[in-house]
Amino acid sequence: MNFDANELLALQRAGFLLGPGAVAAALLLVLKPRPREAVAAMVAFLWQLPALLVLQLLATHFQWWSFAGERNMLLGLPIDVWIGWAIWWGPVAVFANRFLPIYAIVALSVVLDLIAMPRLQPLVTVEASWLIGDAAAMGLCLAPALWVAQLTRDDRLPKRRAMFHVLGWGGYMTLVIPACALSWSGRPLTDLYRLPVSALDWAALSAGLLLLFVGVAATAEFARVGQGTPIPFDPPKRVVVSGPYSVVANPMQIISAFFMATLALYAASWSLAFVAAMFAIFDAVYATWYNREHIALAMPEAWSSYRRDVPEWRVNWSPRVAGDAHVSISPDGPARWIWDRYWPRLEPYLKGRIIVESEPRGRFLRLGYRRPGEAIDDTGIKALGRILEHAPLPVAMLGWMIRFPYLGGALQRLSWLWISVWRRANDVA
Amino acid sequence: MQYPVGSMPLKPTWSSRRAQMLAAVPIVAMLGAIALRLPLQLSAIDDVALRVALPASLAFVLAFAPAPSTRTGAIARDLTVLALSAAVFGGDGQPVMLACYPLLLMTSVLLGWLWPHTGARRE
Repeated sequence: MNFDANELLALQRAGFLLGPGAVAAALLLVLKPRPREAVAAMVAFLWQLPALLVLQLLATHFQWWSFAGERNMLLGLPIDVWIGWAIWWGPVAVFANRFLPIYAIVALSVVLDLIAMPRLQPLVTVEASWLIGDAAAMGLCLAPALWVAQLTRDDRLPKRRAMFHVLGWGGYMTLVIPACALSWSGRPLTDLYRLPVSALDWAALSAGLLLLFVGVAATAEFARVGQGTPIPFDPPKRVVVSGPYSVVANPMQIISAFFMATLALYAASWSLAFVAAMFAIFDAVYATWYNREHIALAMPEAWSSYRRDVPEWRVNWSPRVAGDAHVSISPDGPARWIWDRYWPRLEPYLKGRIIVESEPRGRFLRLGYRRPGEAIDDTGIKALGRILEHAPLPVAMLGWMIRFPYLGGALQRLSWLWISVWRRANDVA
Repeated sequence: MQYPVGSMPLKPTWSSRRAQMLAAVPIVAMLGAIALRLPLQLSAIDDVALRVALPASLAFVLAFAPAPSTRTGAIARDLTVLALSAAVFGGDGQPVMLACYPLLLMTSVLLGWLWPHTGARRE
C-alpha cells in the first residue's frame, strides 16, 4: 500500500497512541496485577507526562529531534504520541518489570530507540545529537519512573517516593497544566515563564514560592511520619498530625488551589483561573468526602481526635500538639550553652507539654526530640525545628524550614562546622 | 476495611450485567462519533484515535473495572464512563470537559449523599 506523507504521519500518530494502549490493556488482563502494582503503574504514567514534556522542551532547545504535525500539538509534541509514550514507559514498562530488571528494560529501550528512531519519518526527524537526547530520556523519564514504581509496588523508601511526588506534582502545577491551559487559549508558555516586572508580579511570585514551600513541607511530613505519599492510593499509614498538619488538616489541597490562582494572576490567564476554580471545587467537595469516607473509617479514633482540634480549611494560629514531647539535651557544649540562654525565653510561647531531660551525648546528637505517640523522633538541628513547631505559626514555619528536605541536612552540617569553630575558640577538646 | 486498597488481584467484571450495559454506552458512542465523521479520511485517523477511540476505550475499561467500595465511588465511576462516552462528541471542547471533571466528582458526592443507603455497599 502506498500512503502519502500526511496519511503515513496520521497512521504513525494513531499507532503510537493505540498500540501502547492495547499492550497495556492486554497486560492488565493477562497479568491481573494486585492493587499496589496497579498503583505503581499509575504512578509511572503520572511521572511520564511532566517528564516527557520537560524532555520535549530540552529536545527543542538542544535540537535533538523534532515532531511533525499541525493539529493536537502541545509545545511541539503531538498529544497522541505524548500519551502513548507515557503508557509505553509507564504501565507497560512497569508490568514488564515483573519479568525483567529495571536495567534490562532501560537497555532494551535504548536498543529499540537506536533501531527505530532514525526510521520514524515523517513523524520524527532526528538531528546529529539525538543520542544525547535519548540518554536524557532514559535518565529523566524511563529509569526514574521504573524506580518510583518499584518502590511504590514494594512499599519501600517513602521519603524517596515522596521526593518523586514532589517533583511530579511540581511538574503538573508549573508545566503540564499551565502549558495545556495557555495553549488552549492560544497563548505561549512565555506568558508565564517570564521575569517579574511589576509589584503584583513580585507579590504573586512570593506567594507562589511560599505555597510551594508549605506544600513540600507537608509532603515530606507524610513521608517522614506517615511512611506514605500524598497519592490517595499510597497514603500515610497513620494520621499525620505534625508539621503543616498541626495547623490545618488539608494543606496540600488549599495550596494546590491557591498556587494555581497565583499562576493565573501572574500569567493574567482566565483559563488558568478556571482551572484554579476547578481545583477549589475538587478540594472542597471530593477531597473532603474522601477524607471522611476513607481516612475517618480506616483510623476512626486518631482522625476524630485530630479533627476536633484542627480545622479542614482554616489555618490555626497555634499548632495542635497532642501528647508529651520529650527533649534530650547534652549536659555541656555549645548546644547546651544556647539552650540555657534561650530556652527560658522561648518556653512561655510554646504549646503542649515538653519534658526536658539532660542526657550525655552519644545516644543522640546534642539535641533530641521525641513524641512517641505521633511516631516523631528527630535529633540535631531537626529536633530544634520540632521544638519551634510548638510555637505560633510564623515560628512554626521556621521549624518546617529547618527540617525542609535537604536543607535540614545542610543546616546540620553547618551547625557541626559552627560547633567545631566554637570548640576551637573555647579551647575544648 | 482494607485501606487504602485491598490485596486481591484486579479482575475485570465481565459477567456483571450492569458492567456490560455500562460498557455498551461507549461502544455505541464511538460508533456514532465515527459515523458522524464519515467518510473517514486516512489523513485524519490520528484525530479519530485521540478524540474518539481513546476516551471510548478508557470508558470501556472503566466499565469493567472492579466495583468501588463506596456508593459515591460507584456513582463517580458510572458518571465518568458516561462523561467519557459523551466526550467522543466533544471535539475541541474536550480539554474544557477534562478541566470540568471536578464538577462530575462533586455531582457524585451529592448523589451519594442524597441516596446513601441504596444497594449493599457501605456508606
